[in-house]
Amino acid sequence: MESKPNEQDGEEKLAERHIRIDTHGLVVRFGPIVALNSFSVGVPKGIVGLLGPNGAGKSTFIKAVLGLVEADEGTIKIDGLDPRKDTTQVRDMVGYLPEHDCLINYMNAVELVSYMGQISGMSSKDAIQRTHEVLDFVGVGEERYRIISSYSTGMKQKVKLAQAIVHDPKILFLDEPTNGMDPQGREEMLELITKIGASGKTILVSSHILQEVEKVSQYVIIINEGALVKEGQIKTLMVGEKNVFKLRVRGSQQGIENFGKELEKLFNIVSTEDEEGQQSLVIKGTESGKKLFKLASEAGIQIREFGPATLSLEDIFIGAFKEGD
Amino acid sequence: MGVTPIEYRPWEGKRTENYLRFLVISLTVFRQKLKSKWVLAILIIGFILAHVFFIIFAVTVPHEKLTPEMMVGDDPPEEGNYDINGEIFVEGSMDMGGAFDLNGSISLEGRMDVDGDLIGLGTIVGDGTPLPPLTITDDGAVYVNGTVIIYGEMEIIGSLGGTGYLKGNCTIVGFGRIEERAEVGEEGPYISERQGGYLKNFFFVIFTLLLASLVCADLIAEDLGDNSFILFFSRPIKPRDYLAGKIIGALWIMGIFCFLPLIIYCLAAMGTQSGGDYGTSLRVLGATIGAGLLTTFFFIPYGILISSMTKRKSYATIGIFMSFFVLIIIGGIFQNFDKNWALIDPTRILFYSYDIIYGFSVPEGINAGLLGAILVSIIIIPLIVVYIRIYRKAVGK
Repeated sequence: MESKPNEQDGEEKLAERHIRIDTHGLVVRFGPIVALNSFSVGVPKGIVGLLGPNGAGKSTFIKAVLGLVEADEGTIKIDGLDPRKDTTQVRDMVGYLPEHDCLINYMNAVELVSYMGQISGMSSKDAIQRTHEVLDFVGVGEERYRIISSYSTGMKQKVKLAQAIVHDPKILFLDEPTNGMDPQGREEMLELITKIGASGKTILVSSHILQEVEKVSQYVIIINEGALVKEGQIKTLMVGEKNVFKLRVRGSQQGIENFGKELEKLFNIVSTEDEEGQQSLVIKGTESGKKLFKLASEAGIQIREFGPATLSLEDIFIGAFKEGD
Repeated sequence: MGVTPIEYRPWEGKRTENYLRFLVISLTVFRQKLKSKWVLAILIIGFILAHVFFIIFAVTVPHEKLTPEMMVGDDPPEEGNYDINGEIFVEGSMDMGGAFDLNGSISLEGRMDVDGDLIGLGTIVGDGTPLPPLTITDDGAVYVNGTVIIYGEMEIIGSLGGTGYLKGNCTIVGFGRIEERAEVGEEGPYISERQGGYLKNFFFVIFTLLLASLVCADLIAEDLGDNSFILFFSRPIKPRDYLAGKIIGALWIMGIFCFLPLIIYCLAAMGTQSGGDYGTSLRVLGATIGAGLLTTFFFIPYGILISSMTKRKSYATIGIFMSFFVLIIIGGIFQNFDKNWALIDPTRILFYSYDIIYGFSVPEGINAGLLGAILVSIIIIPLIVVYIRIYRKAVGK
């Protein structure tokens, strides 16, 4: 895996090249359905994950930012430009990988990618040269001369990525980039995204697969029913509440049971998980481990692990929805 | 990991101007169409049938100059048609291969067969004796396979046989018999049309329709079908650029069939003309440029409209061709009631427009203003509708 942009040399230089996206009070309706409901978010620099269940409004948000969907209310700014007024300037600096099939089936990959490059303002010669470069980058070999309708889903996803980056956009919108790919293909796609991110682009990756987002993103935006549920740096969100600790104890069954009973008297036990000969607990209400170690010693068991409880992205996701409810 | 160890490299080239990017679309459309076997087949077969023979005639048949009639036909157009301004005496039988306008008189002692229309302002005289305006006598039976139109009085003493219509603003007095197949009815003024000529040849019309159907069918339908629409509109082009690119791409292909050969024909005819009147020939060349451009563009807006209404290329192809065909049939049926109904037939609109372009008037009974309005509508309205549809698609409505 490549290192993330904040670990690259020349961090400041990269930061200058990054672009911010801001929306405020964005409302998109499709007839009676409200796809985005007063959606306000600031998409920061770097690789950003856009998380949400199917139908949450992720694709609509991307399309609204691209000007592919007309917003009924609210403002959108990309690097200070309004995509509705400055459509061509905004689209000049944007690359988009749509969720669904969208490739021109009767063309081959070289024709399609260079065609899209030329529409984005590359000369014919530049577009051809760059096309081969990006197809090499995404890993499409000699198949590039076959018509696209004969490609596998994984190949199509790679060609979709190639057409999105051919003109070297500053911002990339990747809508479910691993859609329909096998595990190896997913890994490859995530690696490619990380590599592109390392070149200093703002990349918004929309997905409902949490592990993928966790793997490539530094920042997540969680969306549900068209509204922002939670946003923040993944590292920050993963830090649990203050005074919440995770501990793992090992010992006899009786000892663990006694320890649990004593623990319950002093602290709030958030969760317990029994494994063979050991137990993992999340407890709330302690400021230090002194009392815990004393109780453990009295119960005749060992504390094998003790530290502040951290959350997985899944925990954050589920927690965010619980908060929303 | 399966990814090749190639790092992402930025591109630092210079971008072309936004307003030129529609040309990329048009060039791609042009290239893709030339790769289509069907389009190539129509172009080659159509070129041989609709153009090659005419160009050979233009070179080999002696002619003094390039005339408008060579392009849009004579009036009356077909071989065997005559204008009678003087007198014709027929002692034996006279067999007319086509129609004739009768402004003079015919003295008829024998039998006369007419395969075309017989239009009378003059008289047909039987047995040398002048009769009321058009009289068909025992001595000179008239057999007409076309239409008989009488402005004066017609007296039938002998038999009137025919497979066409008998129309009259006159009194018909019958002493003879009218065969069963003949119909008697009221009719408006007679309308004569220029027919024949290079531009009005059957193959030119039919192959233009076929080519327009093939070229226009997938212009938008395919992008809707494979959802590639979204790729275009996530890039810096506007709906009008997209539409312009598609139309211009189609124009180039249509121009190969509908414009270039006409110019070649004119140049070939001018190069082999025996007379020195190049002024007239150049005027005809100028008119041909106009007619060629009109033909090239004429079917595209309608074709692209049909293409924007379906996601299936095959539906669009059949839809375009069949709708033209249906309009031709409807126009043909209803023009018997009012000649202006002919204006819903796209081929008639083109033919009458050619007449005007080459300096002739529209046929009698055709409203020139209505022709102009329909011509503009058939081009402008589809374009507006398609633009609105594309715009709405582009903004996700």
